[in-house]
Amino acid sequence: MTEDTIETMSPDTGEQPGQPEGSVGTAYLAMIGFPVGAHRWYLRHATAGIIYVVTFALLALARFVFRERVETGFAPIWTVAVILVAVQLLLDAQAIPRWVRQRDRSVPLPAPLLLLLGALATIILLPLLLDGLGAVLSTLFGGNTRVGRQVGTVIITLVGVPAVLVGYIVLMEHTTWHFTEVWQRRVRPWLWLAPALLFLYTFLVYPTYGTIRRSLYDQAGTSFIGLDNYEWFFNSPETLTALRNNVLWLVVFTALTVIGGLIVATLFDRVRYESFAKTIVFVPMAISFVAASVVWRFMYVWNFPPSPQTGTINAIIVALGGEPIDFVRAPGLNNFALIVVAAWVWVGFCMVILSAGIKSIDRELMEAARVDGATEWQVFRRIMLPLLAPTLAVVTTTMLIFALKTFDIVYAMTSGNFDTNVIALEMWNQFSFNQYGRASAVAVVLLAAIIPVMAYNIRQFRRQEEIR
Amino acid sequence: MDLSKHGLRRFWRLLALISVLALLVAACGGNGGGTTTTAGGTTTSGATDTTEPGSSTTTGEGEEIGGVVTVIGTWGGAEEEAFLAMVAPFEERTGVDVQYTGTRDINTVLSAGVQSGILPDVAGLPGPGQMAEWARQGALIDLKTVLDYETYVAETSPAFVELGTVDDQLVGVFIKSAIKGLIWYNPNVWTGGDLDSWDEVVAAAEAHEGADAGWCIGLESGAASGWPGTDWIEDFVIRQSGPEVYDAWYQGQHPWTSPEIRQAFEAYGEAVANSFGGSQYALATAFGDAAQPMFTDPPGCLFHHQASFMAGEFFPNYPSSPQPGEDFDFFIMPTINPDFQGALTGAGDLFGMFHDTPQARALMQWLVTAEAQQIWVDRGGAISGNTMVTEYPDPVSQKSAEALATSEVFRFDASDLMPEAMNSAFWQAVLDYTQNPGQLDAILQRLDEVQADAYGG
Repeated sequence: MTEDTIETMSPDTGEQPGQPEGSVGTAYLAMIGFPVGAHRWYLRHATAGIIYVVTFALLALARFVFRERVETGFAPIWTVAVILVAVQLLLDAQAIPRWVRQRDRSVPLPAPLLLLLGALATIILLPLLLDGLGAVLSTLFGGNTRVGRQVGTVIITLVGVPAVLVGYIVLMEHTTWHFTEVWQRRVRPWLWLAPALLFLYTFLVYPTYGTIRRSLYDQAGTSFIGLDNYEWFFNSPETLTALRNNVLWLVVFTALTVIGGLIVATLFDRVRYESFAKTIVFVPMAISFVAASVVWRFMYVWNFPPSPQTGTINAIIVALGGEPIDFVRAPGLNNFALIVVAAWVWVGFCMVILSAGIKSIDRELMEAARVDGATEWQVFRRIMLPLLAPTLAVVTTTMLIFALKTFDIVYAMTSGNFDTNVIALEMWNQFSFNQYGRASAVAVVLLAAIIPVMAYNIRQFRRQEEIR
Repeated sequence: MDLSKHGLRRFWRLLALISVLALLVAACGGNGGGTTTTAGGTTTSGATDTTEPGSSTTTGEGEEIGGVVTVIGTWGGAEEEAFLAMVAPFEERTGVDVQYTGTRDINTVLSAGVQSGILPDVAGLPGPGQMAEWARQGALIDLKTVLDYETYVAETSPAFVELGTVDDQLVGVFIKSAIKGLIWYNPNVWTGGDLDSWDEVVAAAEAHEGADAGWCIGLESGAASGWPGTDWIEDFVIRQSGPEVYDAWYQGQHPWTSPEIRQAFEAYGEAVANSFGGSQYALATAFGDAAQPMFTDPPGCLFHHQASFMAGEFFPNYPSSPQPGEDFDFFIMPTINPDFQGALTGAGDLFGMFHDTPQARALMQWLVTAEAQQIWVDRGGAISGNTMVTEYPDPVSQKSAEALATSEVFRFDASDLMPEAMNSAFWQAVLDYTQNPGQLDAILQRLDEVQADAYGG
């Protein structure tokens, strides 16, 4: 069903079908799916039966009244909703005779039913509420419909989202009261997890699956072409250059940041102006990559020699009697020039983490070594480094991931020209060439390259946490 | 100690609250945006938006309709101001609020929009090639039903009408245009006036009397770096080999390794070799700043090859603030092969419509009028796409407009007509060739490979 809703997104008419409501509705239905199935116990009550009948009638009526609006975007959700209600009605019909005999009215209004009603009402009412409130508000905003609607959306979401979440939790708890204690313990974690799992699915699992699937299809996305997009990836000169540069980034960027961070963290450890010095190294972290690129473009500026060098670095070179260099374009050198910018930003991060690692090392160990006559270098090499190894592993893998993901700096400084292309930028390029299949293939390769590093990183991080 | 702990806890609580609020706002922003558009597209319950979309075929320009029209374009700075000035009378007359957003990344923004359905009502299109792709996907609205088509055809040069038409649907109109292949010079340095043969230009550039070099070239343009070089090559192709080769070439049916295209690259390479600062200057200098040495003392170069927009957008901002006619003037790049007399290349800013709303219709109807385009023209640097606009503010613009009106063979910028992948490879090839002139064979070979690939889908 999710795929159906995606399909309806293609803007054939220039209008947008009801995709957003579609996904909200899907979310609600997925939320209620479980309790509906697991909770037949409730369906013995006639009150429930009556309410179901009324709901069903209301739904039918609503569908009739809002036909035009409902047909386009809602069709799949409506189908599922109607099937669900029908199933419940059947179950109720079975339960009613039993209820008549037992006359058991002590149980409160069924919780899953409330949720179902709430979800369906929201699906139906959300656009209406938005429209109505938007219309009212737009008069307040001098007839600006768009602003009115947006404010309306904000208000409804601010009230509605917390209400739905809190309502979900309350109702789930309410539901679980009726289970035996063993079942409560089994079911509760899943009920609480369900929304999170749903988000995880919507924003992580499904897009990943979609990307992998798309990477096996042609440019138009209509015919299956197997691994052709991957074959292109490993044969095209652009991507091979990008791969080569990414390897360069992996090695040089990681080395610069980790070693640089380690040096700074060690040298400034327990120095009088430690925090001040560290702050200076850390400050570039606060700058976005694009801003850093702009700053460094000015640093690297090259002017045709008779005119004065306005770039900081070339000005220094010329002052020292050298020849100015066009860092961003000089073949071979420019990749390093870009890596330096990234390292400048990230070295502060490595420093902070490594510094924390150093501080957690037991001082007495080092003191003992010094007393035993070890030189400072021996203390560093034989005691600090081994104890710092887990932290170093985490920092290194984190930097490896950043090196693989590099995009902003290359895009902002050279746009991948002059042999500075990287994989992430190539993905972006293919996307802008409408080559979604190839772009997806690049994304999958990137993902495949990152996953092992990531897995190692997480394991290492956990191990470190355990030690603490 | 206790107190600070308490304070810390409160801080965390506050932080949690703020992040929850931020999340909510983000959530409603994402969700709400789409929701409202859906509601707007299909209902009539809005307070002011009472006209059923599509029901009105024509909306008179003077009619008060109110509402909003969203526009995305590439213009920023002075160009954005010019566009806003252009729509100001429209907003006043109709009460429609034109919400303009400028982006350099228009291709990505609109490509993503066509996929996701989140699009502006009206947008500047990156080029005819991309426009054709979107038109075939059905994303663009046929303007034949929006504009008074006969009037539009009567007032627009046939080349522009043809360029905006895909599969018999008019999907793009020109807001303004520029002619390319102008040779700019400083009359105080180059006193020989206009030249009518390419050989004379080459001879003058070779001699570069009174200047350091023959040409000033600048290729830097951010993500689009290299395009000024593609203009050079296109101007050579059409003048050396004619419109037939030119058309086949941009349509992907004429190989890059052919003698015609190679010859054009080589001619461009000669200009680079005879340019101020050589290839290093060309690669590192922004296209708009490239001609600055023309106005220095002693002058750095004699000629600068660039489109008509230099007069309006760049020369006036140079440090010496050169004046049109006195400090800078131009002649059209002369004919090379006499068989293709009077061939001219140019470009223009295309506009298309994604959503059929009364406001968008009214805006499109306004933008194509001579009255609207005159506003931009008066600000300098632009040539109208509407032939009824005949008054230009300065002699340079006047001369450009006349050249456009009288040109015998007019072709749109070839790289803009190529598929995006080809265009991008062309830009890159120009940079590579400028940096390593010896690698021409490999560069053209690579372009042939891209050509075989890019036109397929």
